Amino acid sequence: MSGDWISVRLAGKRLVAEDIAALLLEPADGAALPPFAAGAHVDVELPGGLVRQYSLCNAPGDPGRYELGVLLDRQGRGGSRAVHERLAAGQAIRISRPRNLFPLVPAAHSVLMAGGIGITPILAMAEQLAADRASFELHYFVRSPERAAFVDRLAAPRFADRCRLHVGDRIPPSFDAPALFDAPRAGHHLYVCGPNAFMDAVLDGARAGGWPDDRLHSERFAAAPLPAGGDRPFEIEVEGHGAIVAVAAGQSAAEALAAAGIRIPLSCEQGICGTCLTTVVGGVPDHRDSYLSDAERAANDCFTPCCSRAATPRLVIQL
Amino acid sequence: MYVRNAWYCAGWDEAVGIGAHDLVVRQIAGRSILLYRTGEGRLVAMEDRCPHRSAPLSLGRKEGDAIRCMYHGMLFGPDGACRQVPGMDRIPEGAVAATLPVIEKDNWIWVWLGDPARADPDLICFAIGPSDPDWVLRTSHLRVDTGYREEIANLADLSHVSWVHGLTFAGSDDWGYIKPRHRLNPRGIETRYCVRGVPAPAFARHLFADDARFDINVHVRMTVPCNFILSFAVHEAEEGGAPNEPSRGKLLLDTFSSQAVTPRDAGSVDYYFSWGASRATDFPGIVDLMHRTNMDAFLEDKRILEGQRARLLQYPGAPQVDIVHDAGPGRMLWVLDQLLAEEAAEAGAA
Repeated sequence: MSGDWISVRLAGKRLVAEDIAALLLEPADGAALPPFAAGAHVDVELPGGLVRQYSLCNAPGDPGRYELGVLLDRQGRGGSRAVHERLAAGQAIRISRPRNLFPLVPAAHSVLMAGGIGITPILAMAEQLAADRASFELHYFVRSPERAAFVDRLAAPRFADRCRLHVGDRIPPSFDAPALFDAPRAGHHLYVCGPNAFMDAVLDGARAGGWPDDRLHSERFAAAPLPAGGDRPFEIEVEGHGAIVAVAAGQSAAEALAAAGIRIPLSCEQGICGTCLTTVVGGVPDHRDSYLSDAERAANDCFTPCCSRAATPRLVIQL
Repeated sequence: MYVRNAWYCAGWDEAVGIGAHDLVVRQIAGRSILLYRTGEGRLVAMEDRCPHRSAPLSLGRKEGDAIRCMYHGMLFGPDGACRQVPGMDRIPEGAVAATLPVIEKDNWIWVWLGDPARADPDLICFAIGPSDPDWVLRTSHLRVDTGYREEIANLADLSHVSWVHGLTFAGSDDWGYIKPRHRLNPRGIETRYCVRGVPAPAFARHLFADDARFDINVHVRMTVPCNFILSFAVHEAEEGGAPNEPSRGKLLLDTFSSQAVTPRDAGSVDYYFSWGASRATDFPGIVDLMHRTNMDAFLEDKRILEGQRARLLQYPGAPQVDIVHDAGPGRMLWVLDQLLAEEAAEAGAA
């Protein structure tokens, strides 16, 4: 049953960079761990009952063990503190089966972009691509050399010259690889994982360079923050109602609709819960939520009026 | 806070007989409602409070179609009007027990808490009762010490099936990844989706090969206060279907569940439910197995909901985080809150 926990033993725990612990997990009972594909993560049950998701960073072909990298977040909700402070080698813990929301797709060339702890799924991808003798390049952005994890692995001959460490680059990055963001050649795919600001910068840069969304792959560790202020006004037409509702800068679509007597169900008002999800039949939304998946956004048939706006002068919605 | 102008389920019809001692009291939305049947079997719903000194009428005595309060002997007819005050020739003004509109439908008893003039029978939620000839349904009931808003949130988001019901309804964690769209109705929400390619649920695992996979077509209709009507059809898994399209695999078992959750007070609910199979897809033993499993599963809900309530009381006002599975609860609670706000505005204007 895929919902079952797997008992594992923490075979090793070591600090691989400032505030980053690498955990080596082996099956508790000698049985094999389920195979995984690059980009996969597992749920880890931590002391205190917390459950957190961590990407597997060892080579997918590596039998019998899983490796995780965990960044200590002192302002976090306690998951990474539990890992750093309360887990010790030899301890028994429980994990879920691997689940992959960030898979590699067949490509002529893969561009891997990691920011900080985002290196973990990216590293597994690099291992897979190297094992497959596939064409790829890896860019790893860290604030300081001390914060670069797994550098010994990245320096291994199997990665030859394909990995580049960018130290001290600002985030958003100002790295000197503008060619990355030129229009991609056929069959090129880009993968990015890291802090939200880093990912936004990479994805925005790639889109501006002409990368289509279906060749951009990303995984976020946390919900995207809401952008503040400076929004353009737009219009909403409610199909069948006749009226056009003007949404001012600094006003949410839901607020503008409510002011016009059209009430939309609201709950979190941060684009997380999806309560306000509304059908779009015309125009293109500017999605600001963390609810819709990339595929759902690509379908262009709905948006969250609590926080999202319009990329076109007018949206036509259906109630 | 309760919507007044709504039908509230007061249980299965068989719970109220015509015997001398069949005086059934239900706690509904902070009120105590006495249910009894007249000699002709007609149901009467009456506030369980004598207008004299508030003794419970349910401690009284049935006399024909009337009920006598056994504190000072006042006799009340099924319309609530006092017929007799022993030792007094004239009936004092105001000697009336409040009665409520009551209707039996789909083997459920429904009472209307609000303005009797607005008691529209069409507002009673759609259901299929155990006496429906096309279905083989078993019924039961349960009390859960939780608020009805928490029950709404439980039922409007079935992702919890994977985690709460891993030993009963779920066969995998697939329910935890379903992200359905919930359609808004004037008094509730409606949700359709398909859970695809899942193994048999834990309770029926032994009936199928290990590698058997199923598609489950789910159709939920929820209405205020907390009625949950579920069509749950198990099909052979088909290749490559979308989660928002119904499965066209061969229908193996068509099941239906009608569930009414009635708030007793701020911290407890009465839960009346059924589950069973269509007569066309029923096979020996399956409905009894479903019936036992249903109770086991709802005890799993009871455990988590009562634990949740304990923590809510322990940490009042503690911040809570939203996640994608909150869309159904968000919509259903929003509908409820709209109706509450409308009633509050009416009360304020009156």
